[in-house]
Amino acid sequence: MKKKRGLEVSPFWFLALHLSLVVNSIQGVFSKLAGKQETMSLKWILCFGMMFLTMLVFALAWQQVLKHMSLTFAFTNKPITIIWGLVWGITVFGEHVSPNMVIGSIVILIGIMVGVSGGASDGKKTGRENGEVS
Amino acid sequence: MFAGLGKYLLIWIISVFISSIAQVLLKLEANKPHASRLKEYLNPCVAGAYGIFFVSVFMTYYALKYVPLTYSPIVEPLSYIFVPVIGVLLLKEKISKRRILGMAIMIAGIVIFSLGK
Repeated sequence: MKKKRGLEVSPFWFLALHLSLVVNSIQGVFSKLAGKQETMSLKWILCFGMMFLTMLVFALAWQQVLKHMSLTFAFTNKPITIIWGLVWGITVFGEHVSPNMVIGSIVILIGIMVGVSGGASDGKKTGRENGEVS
Repeated sequence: MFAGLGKYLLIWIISVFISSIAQVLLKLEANKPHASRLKEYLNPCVAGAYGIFFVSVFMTYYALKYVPLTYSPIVEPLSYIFVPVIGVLLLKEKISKRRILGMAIMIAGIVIFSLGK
């Protein structure tokens, strides 16, 4: 099989992967919000409940996403959660952003773009979508 | 003193390593056909993987009581090395040179990002 360039998954599953990673990053928002509330207060319970809900949604989505791509491809995209964390930090909590964080985010994005465009592995099918069913 | 710190640093690294193993378990199960969607989640492999994640959270929590958080730029990116290596060894996934380069750039980005905190 000829070595492929570009994405190893369909745009739909690539989008699904990134949506699941957004959910994963939101988990940290609820965790931090819970930390700001009085323990066992209604808001604290609500924030913790939302944290576990996002955790559950991510776990369910991640298992579906993994059916359609290699683990290395999925993991190449995972650091995007760091950048989402930065976005939530600024927009939700008004946190300070250092120059290193901005430079680091740009380098991470470049790394993701390089890694993701690495194409499917050399002739190896990578997921159930491609027929790798044991 | 370093010997003591080294012990807790090792616990943290082991925690990252076992959660990488858990990711591989999830992928192993994702590759298998299942009779129903429910069985994709309710099986020993997936349950074991989440059990490992649970243990890993507590190991990290324990290690961080003694290891400064400033070590996180060194420890956390290890998962981006462990997962592809274990994926290649156990799942027989092939990885292109371009993807290895992308991951190396990402790890550098994570270190730069974390050093700015």
